[in-house]
Amino acid sequence: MQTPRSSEQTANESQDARITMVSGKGGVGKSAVAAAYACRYAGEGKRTLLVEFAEESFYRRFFSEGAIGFEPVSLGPNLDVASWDSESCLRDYVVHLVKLERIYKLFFENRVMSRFIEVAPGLRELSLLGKLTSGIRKVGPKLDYDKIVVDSFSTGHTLSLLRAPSSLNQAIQKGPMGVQSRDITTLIRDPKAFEYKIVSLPEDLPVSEAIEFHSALSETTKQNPALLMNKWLPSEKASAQAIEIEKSGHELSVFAQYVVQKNVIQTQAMNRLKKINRNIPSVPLVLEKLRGLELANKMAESLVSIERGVD
Amino acid sequence: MIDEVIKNHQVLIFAGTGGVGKTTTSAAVGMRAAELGFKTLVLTIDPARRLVSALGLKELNQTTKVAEFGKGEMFASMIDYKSVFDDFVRSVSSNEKVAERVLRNPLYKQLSTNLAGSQEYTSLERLYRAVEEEGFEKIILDTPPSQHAVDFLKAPQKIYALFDSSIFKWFISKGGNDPNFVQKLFQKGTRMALKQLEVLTGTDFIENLADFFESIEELSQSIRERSASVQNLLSSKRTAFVLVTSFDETKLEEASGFNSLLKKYGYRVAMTIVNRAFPFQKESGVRVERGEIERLYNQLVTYYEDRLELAKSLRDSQGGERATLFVPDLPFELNDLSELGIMKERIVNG
Repeated sequence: MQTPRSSEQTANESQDARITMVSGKGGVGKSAVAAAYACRYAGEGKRTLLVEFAEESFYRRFFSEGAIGFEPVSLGPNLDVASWDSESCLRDYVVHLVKLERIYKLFFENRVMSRFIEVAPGLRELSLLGKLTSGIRKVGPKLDYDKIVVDSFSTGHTLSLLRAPSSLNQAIQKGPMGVQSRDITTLIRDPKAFEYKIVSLPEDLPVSEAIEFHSALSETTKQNPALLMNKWLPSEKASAQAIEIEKSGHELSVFAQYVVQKNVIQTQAMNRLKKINRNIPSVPLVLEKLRGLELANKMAESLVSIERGVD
Repeated sequence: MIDEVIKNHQVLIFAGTGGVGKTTTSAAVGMRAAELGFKTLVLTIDPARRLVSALGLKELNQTTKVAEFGKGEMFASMIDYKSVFDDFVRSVSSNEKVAERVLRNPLYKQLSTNLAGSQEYTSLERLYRAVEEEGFEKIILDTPPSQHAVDFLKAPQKIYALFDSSIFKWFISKGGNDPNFVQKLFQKGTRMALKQLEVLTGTDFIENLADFFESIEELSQSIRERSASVQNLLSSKRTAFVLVTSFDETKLEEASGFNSLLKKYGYRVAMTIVNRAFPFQKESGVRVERGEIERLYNQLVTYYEDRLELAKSLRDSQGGERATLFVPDLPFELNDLSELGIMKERIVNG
């Protein structure tokens, strides 16, 4: 187990990791960043599935693709997208295991099952993780992608998701779910199976939460999650000029002051993250009018150029 | 604008998706309420460390006096979900023994998290207690940062519906009742389904779950009544929602949807606060030729104008300029109360 030490630390960014989990404080742009990673891998020729864990789909609106649902749909070459909720994942699992869809339909359908998922501890989490890892564990319906990128829940919820299998183990010792939960616990800690990305914004509060989350996630996964900055205002050049203008009483001097302050805050935020990991990619705030796949691809460009570069 | 909203209601619920500045905004409004002379309680959800230290909150569930403004006082408290739910179980149990049976069940811990939408329901329960028992003139509730703001509204109904659901009936064996045809069918089906579940999960799990539901059954009437009371509180004239969002396409769309839903359910939305609005008046003319500053300025103007349409349509559906506040995105750090005061000033002067 790698204990987080100092700024010499670099994140586990294994090329082999089959599953990339993207998380962060609510509202930092996890979904867009996850989409960007998926576009990057697809662009590299890897067969990629972008999955959102959600009761209601975000990607349907983001990609303007109404067909996005439990079954993957294609968004382009090498890129599929799906939306998974825990009820559908459990149904998938039970039907495959039980092989009696008739019986399943009769007694497990809809209202009843969704209530059961709500109240049964850990069942929701186990269903999602079970489906996610089914390709690696070679169980269930086919799920053979080179890369699966997950737009996961926000910080607290992702932690309880990843912790559920090991805590569930105590409650469910026997049976296929008990075995599955032990397998999943192992996979979560395996850098060849899972890697983690924590998204932050270049501001004080999101950075604080990202740092706390990094610590908790490291503890749970025994890995070093990557940290990255989203919506970085591309203001370095403007800031250099701004310092002169601010003093000059120029018409844009108020704006100039804003730029200088923003830059200071951004830099401070970045320095705080760099104390945890040396390399912190930053995805710029995209100011052009781009949406959906175009936006994700634009963001993916900066992921490639930054992550290849020397920090 | 905000002063009227404060004066006209006892309870203000700050709702919206995550990352829009709800917690900071609700604390700032709480400060204003105290400034206006009211004894005010701000109930916060998992605030970041900076805000915790700015407000002087040390322990979960402890109500702390933050500041005094003449007659007005500002108090704050962080909501501790575990203890709120435990207290709730105790308050709806007829006696200690009944409560202990629930609290001691090995599945209770995880069940109490999943049950009834967890954070959402316990925030409402905490609010209910504050209103009924604690003597505050004004109560500000900051809501959990759900992916979808509507999760919050569904919480009381979820708990209520749970005691109505067939799943609950699977496990409760009522001796002596004459089962009708539908129930007979269920009981047969229950046996088959339980067999499947045993294969899946192992016997202990089912036993514990059955025991939990049996112990909960004693509470079901009180739980129903409490859910109804909470629901009434949300709909009452002394309660209003303040919708918080920010100048981001996704968040504005979410806010619009949530706004429609609130209206549909008949809740009062007193005000909408849109954070991170473009902080400058659009200036005309060309200044520094081809300069970086001008370039960035023009790019940002375009970026905001893009979103302004969405923000304006949200504002128009919401009672127009009288009820919607655009709070400019000015960089600041929340280190202590004086900085919270700066945020408060922006809202008051909006």
